[in-house]
Amino acid sequence: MRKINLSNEQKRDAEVAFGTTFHRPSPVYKTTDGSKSVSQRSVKATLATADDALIEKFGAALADELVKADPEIDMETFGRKVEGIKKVYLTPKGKVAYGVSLNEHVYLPDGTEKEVRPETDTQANIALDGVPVRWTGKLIPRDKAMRMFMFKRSYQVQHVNGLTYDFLYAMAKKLADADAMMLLGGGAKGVEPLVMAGGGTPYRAFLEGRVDGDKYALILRLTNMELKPINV
Amino acid sequence: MAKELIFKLSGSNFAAAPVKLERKKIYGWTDTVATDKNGDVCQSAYLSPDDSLIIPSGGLKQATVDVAGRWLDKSSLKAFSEDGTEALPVFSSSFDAPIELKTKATKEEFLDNDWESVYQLVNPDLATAVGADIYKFEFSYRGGVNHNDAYLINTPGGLFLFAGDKQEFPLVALADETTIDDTEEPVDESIDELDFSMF
Repeated sequence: MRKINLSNEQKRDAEVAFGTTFHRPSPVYKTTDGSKSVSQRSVKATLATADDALIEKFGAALADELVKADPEIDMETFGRKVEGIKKVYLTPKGKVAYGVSLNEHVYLPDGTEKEVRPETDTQANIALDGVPVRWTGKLIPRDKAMRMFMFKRSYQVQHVNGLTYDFLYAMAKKLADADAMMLLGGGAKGVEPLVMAGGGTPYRAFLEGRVDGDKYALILRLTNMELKPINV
Repeated sequence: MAKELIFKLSGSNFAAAPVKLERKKIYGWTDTVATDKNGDVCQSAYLSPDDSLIIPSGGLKQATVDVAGRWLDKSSLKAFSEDGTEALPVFSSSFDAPIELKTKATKEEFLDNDWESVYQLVNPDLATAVGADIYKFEFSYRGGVNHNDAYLINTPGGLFLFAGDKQEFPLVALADETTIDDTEEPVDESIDELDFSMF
């Protein structure tokens, strides 16, 4: 399990574990004689056989050429297995570009461009020394939270010793008694969304608690989408 | 016209076309654009490990082959469980027959899932019939071996169909202490825009 630095209502913090055993199984496909098939990444098109190149080369005659001569297939490379490929950028002349600048173009849901800004990377903020993930004090009834957000990921938070058992059990009991979820916050002020891994998506996070006797389950639920109506 | 699912509840049939709920439809989206030193827009592509081949974006395809590397038509293959021992059942698409809503789910049953998809359903009569309950049923969008547990739930934002798979959160006792191994999970998602002012 991974580490999370979590604080409680009294602003005491501890390093505890979180993780999941969930795994969505992938089917195995077999031939009629019972042997396994293999999925592999293969070449479908090269620069010379890509749509744009073919349109430029043949223009209006492309449809006839496709039927007549299969110019979209490069017999030397089509179907070749490729592994360990590198992502590159190409200049308008089709050469590999060096020293490119990356900008993010931000669009509104209606497709209007809102802004252009330099690309930024996110940093994980769940296990920083001295900057625990904060218990914000904002409780949301569980029934309300589950009808407000789509929880994209959920993890079990678990103790790593006797002290952290007491620490987490108390959190779970408070939340179970209130039948509510607690909003968590990251960063120095405890108001930022959580980023679970470097380069990862920022999520708003909630804690849910369950208890039965001396057993507990503390669940970290992550969301980046509200349940809002969309125009169809 | 979009395909409709038919739900049977309390002796009545209700039709609704599912519309996938996506972040880009709610918050918008971000495209990363690369420019070279001259300010010209660059296209993304892939370079083979030996630098001999440039593959344009869209120039790769996941192919199914046999152990000797020969192309296989996927429709001729049979699906088995991940360990390869059990043939998987084939499900009909949920669009093919009415879905009977007869099982109600608890909050925990609903919450403890890893969601694959969420769909908006617009049918005020169905929303009224569902009320504050949560209904659980089996769901397969396209049919075939892939199917999920699905739930119908009313929210202030309307009626939604959640499709996913059960995720376990066992209660743990003092003796169940665990260890931290600090393995960072791989990041497989792109970073995109979200309006966090929602709070």
